[in-house]
Amino acid sequence: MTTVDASLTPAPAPEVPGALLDARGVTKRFAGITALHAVDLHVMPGEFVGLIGPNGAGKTTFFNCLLGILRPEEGQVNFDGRDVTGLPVYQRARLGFGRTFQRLELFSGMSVRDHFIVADRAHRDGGRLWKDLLNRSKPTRDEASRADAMLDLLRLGDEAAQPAEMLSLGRGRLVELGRALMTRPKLLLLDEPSSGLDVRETAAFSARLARVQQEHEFAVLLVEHDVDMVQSLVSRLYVLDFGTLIASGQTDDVFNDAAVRKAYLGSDA
Amino acid sequence: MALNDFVQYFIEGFPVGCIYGLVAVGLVLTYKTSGVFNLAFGAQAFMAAAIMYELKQRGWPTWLCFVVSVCIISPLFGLLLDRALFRYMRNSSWVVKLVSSLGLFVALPEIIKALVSGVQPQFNAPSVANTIGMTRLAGHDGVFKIGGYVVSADRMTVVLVTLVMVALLGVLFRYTALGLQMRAIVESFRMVELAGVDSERVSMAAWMLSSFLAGLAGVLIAPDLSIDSVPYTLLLVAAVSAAAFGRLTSIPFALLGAVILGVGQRAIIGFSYEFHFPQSLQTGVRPALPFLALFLLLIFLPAFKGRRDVTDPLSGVDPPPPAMAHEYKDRSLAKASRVAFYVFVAAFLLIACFAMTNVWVFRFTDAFTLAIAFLSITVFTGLGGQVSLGQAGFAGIGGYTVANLAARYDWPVLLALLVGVLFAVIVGVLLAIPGLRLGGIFLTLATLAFALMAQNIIFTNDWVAGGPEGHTVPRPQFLNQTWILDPDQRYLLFVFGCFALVGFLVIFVRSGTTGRYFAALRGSETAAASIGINGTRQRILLFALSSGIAGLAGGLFAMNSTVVRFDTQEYQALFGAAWVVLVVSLGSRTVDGAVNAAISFVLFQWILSDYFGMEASIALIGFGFGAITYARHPEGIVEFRTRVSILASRKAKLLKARAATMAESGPLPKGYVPTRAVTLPAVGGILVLYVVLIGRRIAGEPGGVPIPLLVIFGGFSVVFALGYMVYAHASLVARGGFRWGWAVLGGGAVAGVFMGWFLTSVQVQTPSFDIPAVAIDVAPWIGMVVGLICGFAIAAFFMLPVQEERVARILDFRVPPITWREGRAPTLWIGIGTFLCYWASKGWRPQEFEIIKGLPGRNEPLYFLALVAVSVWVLWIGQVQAGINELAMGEVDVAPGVPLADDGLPEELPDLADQLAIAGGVDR
Repeated sequence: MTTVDASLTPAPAPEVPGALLDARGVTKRFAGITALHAVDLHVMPGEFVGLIGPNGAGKTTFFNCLLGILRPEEGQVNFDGRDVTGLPVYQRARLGFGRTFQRLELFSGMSVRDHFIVADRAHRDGGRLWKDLLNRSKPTRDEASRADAMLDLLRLGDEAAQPAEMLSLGRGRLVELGRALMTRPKLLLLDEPSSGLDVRETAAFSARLARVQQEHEFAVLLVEHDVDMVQSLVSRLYVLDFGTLIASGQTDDVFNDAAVRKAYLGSDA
Repeated sequence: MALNDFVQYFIEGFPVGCIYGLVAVGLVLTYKTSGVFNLAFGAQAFMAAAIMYELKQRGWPTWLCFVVSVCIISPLFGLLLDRALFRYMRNSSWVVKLVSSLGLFVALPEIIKALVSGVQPQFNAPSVANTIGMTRLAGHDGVFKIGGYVVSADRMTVVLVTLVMVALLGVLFRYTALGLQMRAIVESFRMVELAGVDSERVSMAAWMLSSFLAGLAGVLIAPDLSIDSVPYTLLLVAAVSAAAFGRLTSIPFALLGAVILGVGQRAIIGFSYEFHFPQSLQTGVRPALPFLALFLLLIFLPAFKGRRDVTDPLSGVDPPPPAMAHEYKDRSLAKASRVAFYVFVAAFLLIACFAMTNVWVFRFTDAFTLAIAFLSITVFTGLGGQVSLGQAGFAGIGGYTVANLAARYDWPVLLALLVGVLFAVIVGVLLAIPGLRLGGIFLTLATLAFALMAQNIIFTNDWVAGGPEGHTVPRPQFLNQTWILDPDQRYLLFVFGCFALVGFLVIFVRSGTTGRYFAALRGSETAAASIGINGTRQRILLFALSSGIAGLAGGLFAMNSTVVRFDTQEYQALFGAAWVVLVVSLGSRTVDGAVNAAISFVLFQWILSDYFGMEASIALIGFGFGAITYARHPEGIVEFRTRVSILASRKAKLLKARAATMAESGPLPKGYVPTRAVTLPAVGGILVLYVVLIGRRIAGEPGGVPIPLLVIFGGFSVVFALGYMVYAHASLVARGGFRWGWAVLGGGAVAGVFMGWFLTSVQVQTPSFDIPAVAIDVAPWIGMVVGLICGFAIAAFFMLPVQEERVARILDFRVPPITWREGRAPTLWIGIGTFLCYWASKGWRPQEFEIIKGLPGRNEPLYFLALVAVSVWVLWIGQVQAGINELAMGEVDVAPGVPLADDGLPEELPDLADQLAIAGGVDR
């Protein structure tokens, strides 16, 4: 358990041996405002890590820097022993980043099963045009069975043929989860999966997620608001406030930390 | 360059810039308030100028002409566009809005030419300057002298009027509630509604204001232009690039951009004289400057980076697009229709090879080439979800490459064709790379700019286009033989083969990985990237594929007509814009859509010019209006009709199954009549006539059916059908239909008799014939009898479905069996028939009537049209009877419990076999 003083500029953290994701000294500025201030974060293979912080703390900015949607001004993002700081989004996805979105980003007009098939294919095959031109790229039996397995795993069988727009938000989140899983990610980044869901739906999502994670053994970085969800799932936690990491460590320790309670939960209790 | 040169350029260019500015302000205003980038403003400016000219010709005083055309008709037309059209598209995607305005862009100039200014461009436009006294204010030679520089009264007027308008607009936006609302509504139509603003009213005001500005610009610039549609289209492009300067949202920057363009154009003329540019550049660069500016602005202005278009934060509540028709089909139906399709194609090719006249072989060759060009739009729009107006440019690149290599360097023409395709692909990729950052409407505008640049700078170049003579393009050597097939027929097969090849490739790409990736990118680009799809690569692939296909079509166009010149129609940018309208309104997602669009375009043109003696370009009006239906049927008319017919056949099967079950347990309900029992007699008599006709042709006799046979058999069918209508109406009224239906039928009959009498007896001045004469030259009593039948029939075409809807509502049906819309098709055919009678009675006869060799009867095409009309009528009767049967037996729901989409069709279909079991077993 460490508490970082925000007024000091920390030296870049040393490399964490064996880490799957290792972000060091990530700094991002927007027109003079420092949205992220030398943030360090790492995720070990198979580990379930949380990232919390009040609104405007820079969680989404950090998330986007990890994914390659934004380029940090300083710092480095290593993934699986490789420097990925300059790589575009789709190449990181191919290396093993999977993600879901806070606001649903489904492929409108596509059925749930097709979501899984297209993700499976994106993972396995870059898409050779000549194969298309020779009509060699219809969905194979293997692809269909993998998609069906995912439908079963997430209990989406009934919605398999429905277009994505017809789904409820909760089901849509599951489809996004399944789509990300079809690419066999080493690290799954979840962007506030509980937002817009009620308590029951959130619990259902958490339960599915926990089961799937046990089965597939990928690491998860969860950005979340819902404290219950974080506490029930996450083994290690980072807390971000005003673009600076204010705490990190085992989940229970972090929640008991006074600075965190003050900044994040807004109480001295 | 001396300073006084620059002042001279400024003084001469500034007024032109002001004109661009007025239109640009209108563009920004409507785009901001309704999300519609109205490409029709050029046409609206043309309309105002043409109306003003027309009124002036009739001797009206100039000020009155100005008031009527600019202050009354122009804003009213804007109001009409908003109320009748764009109002319904508020929440539609940008593609719908763009394509609808593109439809107007294509159709409006043709309508104006047909109705107002004749077909000839007019040069002596009335001057507004005279009216407002500017000419009197000016010096004795009608010009103003400012410090030694000369400004004509017309141009001074332009400047003054623009300054006044700008001041008024500034006041409007800054100090009035309306201006504030206009600025707010751009964010979200629905959100402003929620805030309690009547956004309809704001949008109406914006449309009227911007149409007024367009009209004003059109009238002001008229003395400098000929009153013809082409210069006004170029005016639009200049205004678009000025608007792009203001990022399509800032009015002050749009005005600044307009002035820079106007002055820049003038300065370029100056430079090109001063520095002795080659002639081709001198003539090419000046008109091309707006396109060049637009292109560079879009590509390099950082504001457009990643901009897609105006997105409505609440647009997520819209229903999903309908499923593709082929997903709607049952397996057996899909198989049957595929077999039928191949049989049809084989039959068509056999006829084309052995029985069709060369003129029509050529026309179908043209149609299939066009279909290839249209497939490039199927790829770009149907797969990629983007709209390109630059396909004619790619076609031109293919075409001129083939022409140069084959004609100048004597390459084998097939090799030249391959190189042409390759070259088009390279240009497509080169265009894709800077265009990567653009999306939505901005990409569309960039492609339009590309096509216009290609047309004005490259294709007019003598070195490329071979001067006024053009290049003579050979056809492939192996087609020039006469064994079994003549060269023309061989060439048709060659083009058809190319089309089939490209068609299959498009289908494969759509169902393969690339198509799936495109679908994913259409759905969400960020999500697609998150699963590892490389959007850049896909976008480049999209350009490469579609420009390659367009290049192939361009090369084939060159071979078709054998001569390629600088003005070859198929390579003109505006023609390419019309392509998009056609394909998108008929169906951009399927190969069927492209084929239908191409064949109907070519057939329509020739039918109009050969059978109706009209300008072929009038066809564009029809297709332009076709684009407007796109708002209702974004999947295209062909797709929609396919799904409707699939539903109808399903319903028929279910009805039959239910009737069979009910017949086992007792008598069928009263009013149930198998549809065959009414359609066969109705069509039977007429079929007899056609059998007689074919018999006479086989026996080698010319002429039509003997009059007695015509009266007996034709009369039987007509009397039977009319009697059926009366009977059906009576039975519907008995079931609770509206009693006033009888009055409608009677009124229709009376109106018909009156029209018949009017058209055959009253002398009228027709637009095409100067001497007053009766419209249709037959005995009035014949006119009145035919009028009686037609008037009654038209009333019934609409009234019977209305009655069925009414009864269905009483019986609490979820979906009425038929709607009034089904009355439109047969009514249209009565209209066409009347029109043909009108022409025929003027002594006109079809021109190229010989489609099949050895069938020279001059009325053959008319017989064919009549057969189509009869089938439409009979189909309608069948639908009406099927509806009555359903009303008698209880509702048959083809998709129980499935919600209905906006177009009234169910969103998906359950398995037919299950449904048949239910329909046969139980009657709930």
